[in-house]
Amino acid sequence: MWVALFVATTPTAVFAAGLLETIDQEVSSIYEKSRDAIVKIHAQRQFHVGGVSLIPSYRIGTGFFIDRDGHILTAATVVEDADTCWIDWHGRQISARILGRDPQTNLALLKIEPETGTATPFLPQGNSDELRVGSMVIAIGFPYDLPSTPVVGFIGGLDIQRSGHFLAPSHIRAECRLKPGQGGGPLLNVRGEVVGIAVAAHMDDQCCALPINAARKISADILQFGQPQHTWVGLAVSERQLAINATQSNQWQVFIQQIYSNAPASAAGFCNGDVLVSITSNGVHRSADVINTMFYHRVGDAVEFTVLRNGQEQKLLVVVGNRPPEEEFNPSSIQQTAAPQPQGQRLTVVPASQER
Amino acid sequence: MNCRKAQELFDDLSRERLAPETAAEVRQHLVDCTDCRVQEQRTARLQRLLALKRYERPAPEYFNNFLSEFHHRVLAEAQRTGRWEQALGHIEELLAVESVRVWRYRFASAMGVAVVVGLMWMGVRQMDDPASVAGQMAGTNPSLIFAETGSSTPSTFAASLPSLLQVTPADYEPAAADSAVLTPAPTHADSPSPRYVLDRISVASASYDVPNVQF
Amino acid sequence: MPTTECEIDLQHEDDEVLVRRTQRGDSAAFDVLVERYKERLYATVYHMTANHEDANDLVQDTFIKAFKSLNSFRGQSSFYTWVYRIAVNRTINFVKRRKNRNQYSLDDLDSSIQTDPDLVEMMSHITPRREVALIELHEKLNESLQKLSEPHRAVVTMHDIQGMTHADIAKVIKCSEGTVRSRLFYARQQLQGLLSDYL
Repeated sequence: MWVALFVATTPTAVFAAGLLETIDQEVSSIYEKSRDAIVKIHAQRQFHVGGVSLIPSYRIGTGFFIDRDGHILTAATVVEDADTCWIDWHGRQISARILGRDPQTNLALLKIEPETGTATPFLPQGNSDELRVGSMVIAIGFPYDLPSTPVVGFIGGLDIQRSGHFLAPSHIRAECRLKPGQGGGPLLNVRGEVVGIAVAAHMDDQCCALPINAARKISADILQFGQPQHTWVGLAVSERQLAINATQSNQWQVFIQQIYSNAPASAAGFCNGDVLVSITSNGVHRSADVINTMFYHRVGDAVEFTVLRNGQEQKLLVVVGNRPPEEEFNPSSIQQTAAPQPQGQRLTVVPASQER
Repeated sequence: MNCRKAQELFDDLSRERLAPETAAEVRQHLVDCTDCRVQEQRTARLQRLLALKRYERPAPEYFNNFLSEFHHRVLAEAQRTGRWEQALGHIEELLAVESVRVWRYRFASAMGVAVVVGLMWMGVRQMDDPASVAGQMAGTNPSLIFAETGSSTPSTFAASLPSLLQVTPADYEPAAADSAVLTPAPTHADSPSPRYVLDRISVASASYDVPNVQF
Repeated sequence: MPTTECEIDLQHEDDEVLVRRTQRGDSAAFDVLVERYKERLYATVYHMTANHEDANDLVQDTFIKAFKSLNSFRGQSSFYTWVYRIAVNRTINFVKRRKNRNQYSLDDLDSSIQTDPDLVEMMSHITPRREVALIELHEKLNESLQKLSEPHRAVVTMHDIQGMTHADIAKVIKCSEGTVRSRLFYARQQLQGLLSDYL
């Protein structure tokens, strides 16, 4: 990385000044290269009351192009329920079509029609699996009514859980203080590649971002099926710690607590208490491993689970199904129940206009 | 007085709703008839027990926000169904009513009132969200909640915003016929204050429970 | 030109007047009705559901439904009876659908059982066969009530807890007084069985 090179080759006396200058130049140049591909998104919803039009609801957020055909990624809450949606583009407003939204990850895929012969500039995509805690990221978005602004920060963590709620898959937590309007904007690595999408803020000074690899999968699903396809196997698992011993690397275990009936796992031969050893070739030690592995599978995949039962390993095959909507999670659909375990709180996306 | 008739009147007797003569008759029957007496005593004990529940009252402050919550819900309903004319009668009559009372969802035609309604409605929608953010206790699923708080747009922003709704589709050629492109809405003279989107993840109280993952 | 004086006047208006005003577009009149009856409705609904959140939602829904269909209210009964009926029907339907979930929210408003000298006196008349803490009694009561079927629970709530007359109850659930009495009788028999330890 350029920082490491610079550190290695520069004498200390001019170290500080040179380093800062380089950071300055790098951030500015990444911003300049990327700004064209990052757009402000407007979404409006009209209300009619008995023939009288009310003041419409109007939301503004950030999004960015991912290819030359005008596909845009943004946060789902920016465009939800919108009647009309448009972006600011070269001083004009261009209508955008909402191709699909995923409430689970707060992602939305839009498309504009570029003029014939023109291609939209787009951000190159990086590999979010390469990110490490401490990696530097630049979040760019439109705060309030201001022009786009870069916010520089470091990755504080890759979290699967936050406040007792599960994030599927693991999200990037970056120390970037974002402002309203910057939701849906990209997170860039130091090479100027998109590695995440700012989907939410946490505690004001942290940014929670969906990794770009996950966004890729969801947008591919939306393009192919019109909606996200989340995998569903039909197992409820929990994790426990075997022994608090620094030398033991596999001190955590994931075990099955419940098996849903009418689910892909029902007839596969699972038993309560089975310990998950691996899913295809991915080892499983924590619940996070399960969530992350299953997230990237596609509906219809035949997935081989290796479980440990009574000291013996068994391989069970499951054909992955489609995740049912939340309302269908009720106790009567559970085939076998282990002893009641304390349950964490479930987070669900609630669009602002949703009623019960 | 026979047993059946007497039993019918027990409730009224205990509530002192009977005329004196009738009450006397019932009491006399109770003296004479053991079965009925036992029955009446049992019922009376049960009723005293049930009456305990009258003391099951929330603190008076519990209802303080009831009315405002009601207003929020009505607004949300309106947005959902858009069939307010049923509830409010004729809108035209409503608009013509001369009244300076600005009730939150009074759809008066005065622009100033409309903007106030719009701003307050923004505020209402924000206040809706904390309620929806509270986690739902039906087991853990790997899902994420996005509390749509957006920003509270103070009126200063509204004043400084250029009219954002100058949507001009003129330069834009609709592409192939199969792409159903949305056309921008016509502008309104009273442009709404926009909500700048940045969702927040709620902070629930820390829990040491091990949640289970349903996949 | 209506001023704040008008608001104060609204507080003392009859239900009929408020209903008419609401029907003509004065939504503030409906506010007065909400304030007037919210606690009474809440009490009944709460006793039937034993859950404060559900009770709150149901009463809110009731008022919303009443507000939306106020135009079709022709004054055949009093406003209170009409809105009370909506509440009871909603609650019965809700409880039917909620059958498998046990969601008592007694703990969060425990302090609502206010210490009251009458209550103390009442406790001394109950003559339970054994010492029982108030909390346990309270829980047992709610449990037993929840075991009744919804129509029976409704009449017991309305008569024995809320203190309504047979005639009023009959108006609310739209049946004869005889039906009210026989349901009460049956419900009490059930409760006596369930609460025999405490009676």
